[in-house]
Amino acid sequence: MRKFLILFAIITYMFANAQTIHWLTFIDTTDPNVGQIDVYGRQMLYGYFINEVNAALGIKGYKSDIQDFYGPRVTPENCKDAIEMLKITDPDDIIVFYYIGHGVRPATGSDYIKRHPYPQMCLAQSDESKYIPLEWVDEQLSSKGARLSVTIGMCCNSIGSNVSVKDEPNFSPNYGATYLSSNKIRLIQELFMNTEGHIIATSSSPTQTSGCVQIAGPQPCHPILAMQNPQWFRDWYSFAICSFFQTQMDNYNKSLDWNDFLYIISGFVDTNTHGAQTPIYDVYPPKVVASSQRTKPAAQQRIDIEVQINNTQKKQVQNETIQKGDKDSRDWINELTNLLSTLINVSLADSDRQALEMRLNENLFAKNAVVRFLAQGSDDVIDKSEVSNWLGILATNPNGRIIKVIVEEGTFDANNKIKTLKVREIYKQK
Amino acid sequence: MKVINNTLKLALMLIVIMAYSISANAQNYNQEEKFLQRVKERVKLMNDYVSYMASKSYKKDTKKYYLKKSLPLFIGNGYEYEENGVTKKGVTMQTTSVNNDKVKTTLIRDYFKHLVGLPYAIVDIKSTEIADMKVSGLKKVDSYGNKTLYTCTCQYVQYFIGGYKDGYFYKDKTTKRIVCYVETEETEDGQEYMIKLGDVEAIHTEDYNIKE
Amino acid sequence: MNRTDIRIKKIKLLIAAMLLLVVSCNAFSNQLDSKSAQCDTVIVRSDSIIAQNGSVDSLCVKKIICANNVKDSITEIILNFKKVECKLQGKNPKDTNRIEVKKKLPRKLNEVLRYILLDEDNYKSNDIVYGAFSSTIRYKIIQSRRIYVYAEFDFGLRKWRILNSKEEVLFQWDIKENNLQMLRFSRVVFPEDETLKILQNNLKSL
Repeated sequence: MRKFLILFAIITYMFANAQTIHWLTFIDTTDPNVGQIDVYGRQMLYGYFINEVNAALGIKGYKSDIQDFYGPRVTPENCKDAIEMLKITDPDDIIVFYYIGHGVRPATGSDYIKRHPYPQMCLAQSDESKYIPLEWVDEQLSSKGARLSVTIGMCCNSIGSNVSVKDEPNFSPNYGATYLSSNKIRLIQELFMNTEGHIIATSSSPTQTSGCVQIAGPQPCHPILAMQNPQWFRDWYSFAICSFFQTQMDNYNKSLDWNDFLYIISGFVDTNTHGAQTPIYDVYPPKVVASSQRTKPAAQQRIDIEVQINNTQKKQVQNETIQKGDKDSRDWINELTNLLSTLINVSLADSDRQALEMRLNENLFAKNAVVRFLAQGSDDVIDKSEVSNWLGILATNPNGRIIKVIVEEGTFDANNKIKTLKVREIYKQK
Repeated sequence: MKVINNTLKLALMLIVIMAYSISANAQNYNQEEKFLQRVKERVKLMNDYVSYMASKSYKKDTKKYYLKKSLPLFIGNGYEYEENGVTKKGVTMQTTSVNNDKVKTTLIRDYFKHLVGLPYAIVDIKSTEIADMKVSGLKKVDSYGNKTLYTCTCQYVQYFIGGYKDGYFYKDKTTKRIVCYVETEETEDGQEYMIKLGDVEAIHTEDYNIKE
Repeated sequence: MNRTDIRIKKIKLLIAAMLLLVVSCNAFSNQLDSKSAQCDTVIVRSDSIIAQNGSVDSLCVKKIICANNVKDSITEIILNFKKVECKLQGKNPKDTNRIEVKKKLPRKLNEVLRYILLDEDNYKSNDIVYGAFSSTIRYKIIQSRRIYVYAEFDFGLRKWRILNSKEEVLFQWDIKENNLQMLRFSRVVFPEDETLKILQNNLKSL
């Protein structure tokens, strides 16, 4: 019976939707003033926004492709490369770019400000010739052929006297867990799947700065105490987004489009900063693209699971650790995340999922491998289990309770098999 | 004089101990909240397995496979385990009925087998959502090396309805309390937890209005 | 209670008081000593606004807060400066004709600068913002040949800061309400400068 199942799985091609949501996040965690705050900000953004969006879209068959840049990897060169090299394979793909760090705008006439209200991103360095305009990112991503692209810059939009106007980067390219209610799932799916076009947003209006909200600690907080306790602060804009996701979406009973969503976020920040910080945004219809440049719909993609598993295994390096955000971590993290998404997908036949469970257990994991579960929005380990038991739970997943498994880190033994894995699980609330 | 001195010393010691324990508690509170949420998720997952195994919409072979895969949720993987030096045959489940006062205690693996083969034509089992479950604080049970074992309890309500082909149906609403084992381990990277489910006690059973 | 008991009680109280004195003096001197090498030119009265508000160098301020009844040297310099040297920084890329970069502040403007710098509003806060400080203009405020500080302004970010003679940043604050006023003042000093003019037009119109 077992051999039959394995054979069945190997020769059975699984028809699956090929659409993907691509995330490009650049978060400056090294700056002496805001770097430490952004370490917590990154956890918050992933825990309360990105992972939830991926979970909700995963139910509809969307795979996730995350490029998570933080620490020393946040550079203008890496940003430019990541954007230019991003490939779209399905016209239903979605791209989301999110930047947290310093920003600035040039001192110009008011006409220029009206035509180009969005800032330039500093990307963890101070050479103004390398700042990247947010509008250039929007321009690039909206031309990739995805159904929807969203470009968000959480940074100051204040004037720097020595900053030049840029239409695009000047330098040459080669020289650097949780749980969702059904209402929240519906809203996220509406927001991301019912929209075509491109969106650009930033956390403050021209000449304004973007600041932080204090979420813990004594108030008023002495600046010395503030510097010593970065965990008490989050940037206002990302906090507004995550706060809306956490506190409003479960009970929000109207329909939600990007205009509504960004209007709410802007209003929240503007009100709470007493007008000192007013986010701005623009929602545009899809660009008209020449037919020769249009992304052709992928034929219902035949995915040979055996090939997928082999590809993932090849990236597992003896006695090494791969952590999300490391250089070269993207493929392995995304592939394993997507394999696990297939495993928990209750719309697939039980027999296919059981066969996949066996293959994953034999090919990718060591005997007695351990999985550790991380809390939503932090790196605390809240539970652990033997991988073999855990895969069995994923392969059964009664009522589709587990809607997303996000791989954070894997450590391999001498045989290139995973001996420890760190993940976050997202549960459906009802 | 001596009495006064001794009293002062004792008072000082008590103040120091209280101050230390208050600050330690404050630091641990947020951590505890996170894995108590995980406890509720595990209990809800167990209830999802219960619903699945009882349902008549799935094949018996599939349900038996789900049974096998659900047992690792429990301490001892649903089989023998040791607690306070005493060997127990396995986690138990208490069942009750509105038709009599009997409380039946069955091993969890046998209870699940019984669910798979329930004699009804239609069965529907629902339980409390995660947000409405009540979890108690942790109680220390044992300590060995760098590991410490705690227990807590999680209370939820289970709604059962089973119908025969002739139109007769049975329904009940049972308040249940499950013991959860939380093992903490001090590691290089900080404190880690492992959660396993334990015995389920039926506290109260009654009939209910289907509209509830 | 007999005499011996009273004496014992008095001795115990005296020992306790002496211990308290020794401990607090140690704490005080440790804090002073630890930063003296880095902050030896900056002493601020603990009840001054400077001590109560933002600072980049937190250890420096910690020392300052503990130092009661000492001279407030920053305020002293601002109150008693003899001359000011002004230097433009951060040139706008459109400004191709910047010739005059350094100037001595005319004496008649000393009091105006003093008036703006001593405004309480300039010392109220130092909010965390997602923009890097980039100085537009620097004022070297000189009390004597050896006693001086630098005051730098970023008008776009609406912040200003004070640096010591080694050009180490001591304090940084927001300059919200006085931002345009200080920018206007700087334009009086450098009336021909394009960069300041463009900045003022931007900040006035929006």
